[in-house]
Amino acid sequence: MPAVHGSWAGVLRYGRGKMVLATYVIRVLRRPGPWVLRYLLTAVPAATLGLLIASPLAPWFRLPLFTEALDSRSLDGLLEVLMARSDAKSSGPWLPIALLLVPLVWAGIRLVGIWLEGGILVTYALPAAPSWRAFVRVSTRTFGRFLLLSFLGVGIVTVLIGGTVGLALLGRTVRRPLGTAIAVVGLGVAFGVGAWVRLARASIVVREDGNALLALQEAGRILVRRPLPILALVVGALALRVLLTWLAGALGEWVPLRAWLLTLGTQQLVQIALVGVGLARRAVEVGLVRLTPRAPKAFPEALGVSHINTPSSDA
Amino acid sequence: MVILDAGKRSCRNASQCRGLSEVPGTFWIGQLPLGARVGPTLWRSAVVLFVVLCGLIPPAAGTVAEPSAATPPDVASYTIEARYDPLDHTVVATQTLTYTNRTDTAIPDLVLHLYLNAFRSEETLWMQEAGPEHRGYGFDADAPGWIRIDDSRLADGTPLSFLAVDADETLVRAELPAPVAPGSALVVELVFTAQLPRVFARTGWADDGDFVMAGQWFEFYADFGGYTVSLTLPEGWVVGTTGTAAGGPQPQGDGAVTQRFAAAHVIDFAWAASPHFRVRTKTVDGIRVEVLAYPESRAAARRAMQATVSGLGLYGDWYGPYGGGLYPELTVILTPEDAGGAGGMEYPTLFTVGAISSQFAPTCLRMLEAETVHELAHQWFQSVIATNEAEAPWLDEGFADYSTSRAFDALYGGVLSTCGGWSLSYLSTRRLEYVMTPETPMTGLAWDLGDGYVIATYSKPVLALTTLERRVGDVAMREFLGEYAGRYAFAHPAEADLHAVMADTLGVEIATWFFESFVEGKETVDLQVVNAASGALAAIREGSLCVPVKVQAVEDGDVVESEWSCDASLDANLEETSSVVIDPGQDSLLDLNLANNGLRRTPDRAAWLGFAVRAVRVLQMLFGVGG
Ligand SMILES: [Zn+2]
Repeated sequence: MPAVHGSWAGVLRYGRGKMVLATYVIRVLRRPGPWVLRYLLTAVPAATLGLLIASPLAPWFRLPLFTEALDSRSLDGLLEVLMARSDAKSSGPWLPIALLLVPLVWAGIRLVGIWLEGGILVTYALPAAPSWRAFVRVSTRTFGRFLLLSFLGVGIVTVLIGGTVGLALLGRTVRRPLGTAIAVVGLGVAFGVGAWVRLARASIVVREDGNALLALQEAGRILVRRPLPILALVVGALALRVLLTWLAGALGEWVPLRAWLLTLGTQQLVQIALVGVGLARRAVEVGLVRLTPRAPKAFPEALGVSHINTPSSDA
Repeated sequence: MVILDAGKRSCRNASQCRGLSEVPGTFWIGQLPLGARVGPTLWRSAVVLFVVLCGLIPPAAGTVAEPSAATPPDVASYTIEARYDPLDHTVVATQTLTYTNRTDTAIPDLVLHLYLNAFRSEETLWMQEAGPEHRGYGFDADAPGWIRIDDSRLADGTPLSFLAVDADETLVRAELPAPVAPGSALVVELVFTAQLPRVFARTGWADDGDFVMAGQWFEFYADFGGYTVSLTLPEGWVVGTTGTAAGGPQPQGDGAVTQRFAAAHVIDFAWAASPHFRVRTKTVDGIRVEVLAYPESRAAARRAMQATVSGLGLYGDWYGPYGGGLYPELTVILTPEDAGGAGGMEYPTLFTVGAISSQFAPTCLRMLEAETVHELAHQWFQSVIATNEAEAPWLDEGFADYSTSRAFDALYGGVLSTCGGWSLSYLSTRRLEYVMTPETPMTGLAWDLGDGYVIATYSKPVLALTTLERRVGDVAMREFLGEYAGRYAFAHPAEADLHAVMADTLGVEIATWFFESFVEGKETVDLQVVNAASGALAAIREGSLCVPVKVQAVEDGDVVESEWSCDASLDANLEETSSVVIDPGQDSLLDLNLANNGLRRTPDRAAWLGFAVRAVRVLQMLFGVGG
């Protein structure tokens, strides 16, 4: 085939690919179930724990210095109050208990999140939204493998970054340019591994690839075949998250302390948008797995969703 | 916690001791050369030394330090030709010292400081007392420091033999063939070798020999004088010194280059050099400011220059021209990363920055600016207004630190850190220190202060002077500061002199209040709003430190303000108030607890809800991590 013809075909294919990927993002908006679930997953525990932390501190709000310090974001006033109340008797044992709960709740949320993952991915993978029963079934069946993939991802990142930092420390003189380079490479590696693991999850759901390690292999193949869209996806999602987080921080600074309703409204809108960004990324990942022809060999395993392999014809 | 150069000073030297009150009118000013947290034993030995030396030189009659605005008469002037070897870290030099007897008594002997000998080993008395750690920087026993007089004779060739006064040979004394009569001069020729240590306690080499900070590197008799110094360094080395360039560079043909420097009316001569230094200069009001820094510290150098230039303007406004108008140049040395022990030190017309790694802190944390404007302030409070660091250490550190706080007010709204969107004021860091041991008078001999040194000389003075400023107002405060600095430029004021200026400018009542309450007193105060038995709010005062304040009460939405003087009980009815705040403007910064200065009957619900929804949001963000 002449080179010119080939390149045209490539452009057309790429353009069609983008259009197809857009249909997956639209599914995030049309099928709001996962969005609600993932929002509530963090919002409910955060609200409970937040009130648990804030309630014992209510007496502190009798001190004008404390409220002024919070309102004007002044550490001076906070330090005065902390110095004066260092015995913490006034707040009772609730504050330490609540703070101790934070990491436990975080771990619980992560586990539930991993369980939800299968159902979320299958919701975006199918031409029509699956039933709740199918959602739960896929979530349950993929949970073990997704958990394994999460641990693998964290392990790989830890080994790679730990190794790099260790090597740099062995070289003793960590000059700042090197330190910056390590940080940048480390972050890049972390995001790369994250994308790899997520593609493997999508591959398990979309392709019914049974084995987590084979799914990682398949995901690696997709990473190599479509590096640019995946890079764009990772960078784009990250940029949106950073922007939204910055926006939330800025709102927190600008809105006066006492305007709590305004704070609540704006912050929760940002939070909902953040959840949406994460889900859109998942949907596009599902689409990327769909668009990439599978490797010649595969190990199918029924997921109990009969039409999962039907061609993507819905729009 | 910000302790800029706390504990830097120790008792010093013979000429100072002699000059304390026994020989008024003489210039004993001392750069406090060595430093640090000096233990009681060293202080005791310093006192012994003081007695011994004062015995050597009979006290002359005189009066209390006389105000003077004239240029200081030269007492000890030097011509030094020195060559630095960066491989051995040694200085080999010849030195001509011209000593003029400005007292009205004949002087039978000559006493010189050989401070580098304190770094001979970990066994020296100074090291034993100060410990092998100085401001967090360790002593390297494999790279010690010492200084040796190779030859010494009078101008006519008569050899002089110096004998050690102390066990460490940091002080040596030679009997003169004939006493130096009042008004006449003595010329001594010296040849010496100085081995610089790896940077420790402000002096030495670092960066594998590529950086050298030479402080207390020659034999000296600490007093005002003129310096002509020729420094021979390897080609390509950049040097910053006390004084100004006066000739060179002249290649020596062996890869070394000689440069000449001159300084007038200074009490010490320090220099720093490195082949890596980049020089940044700026001329402000006729003063050439020079910042020497490593290339990687370019941003820090820019910040130090900015702070120095701003500080020069402010201090010049408040305290009169830099160096009394006598110093044309100011050099700022940014110490490299592994030479922090040489940072945060002031010398005449030169100071160093880097003691607290401030250059490497993020820009939101203004440690570099704080260190810079603090050290710059010493160019007034010590170099020109030459108080006695041993007898009243708060007079220079306290005023230098109060100047830092004032400069921070003018330049950055008083804020030291803005990191994370939260502000932390400079004064707040000093309050954190003060409330730890508030029962500390500011007055006291340096060696008696012990653990209270930082509180007595830094924290409490800056808070007390700010409290004074808030009581009398900025205009009156500036009048007082200007008068004090003007009256005692190139003189040696004591606490009594400061008291007199304060009484003249701010009134006897204020001066008495300030000295009795803060300088001499160790009383404290805690103003509090509490729940009375009836459920109403009540204002109480715990402690006898007297600071008059305002009280603000909210009654049916109206704010009612009343005055609360020290001796009376509060003349206000708080029965019906929903909230009461004592001292809303924080005029009294020595209050032990500012948090209990105000109280509402009921919690501020809207604020609590605002806090709660923010806490929820933070947790939501946290719980979203990794998902
Ligand atoms: Zn200082």
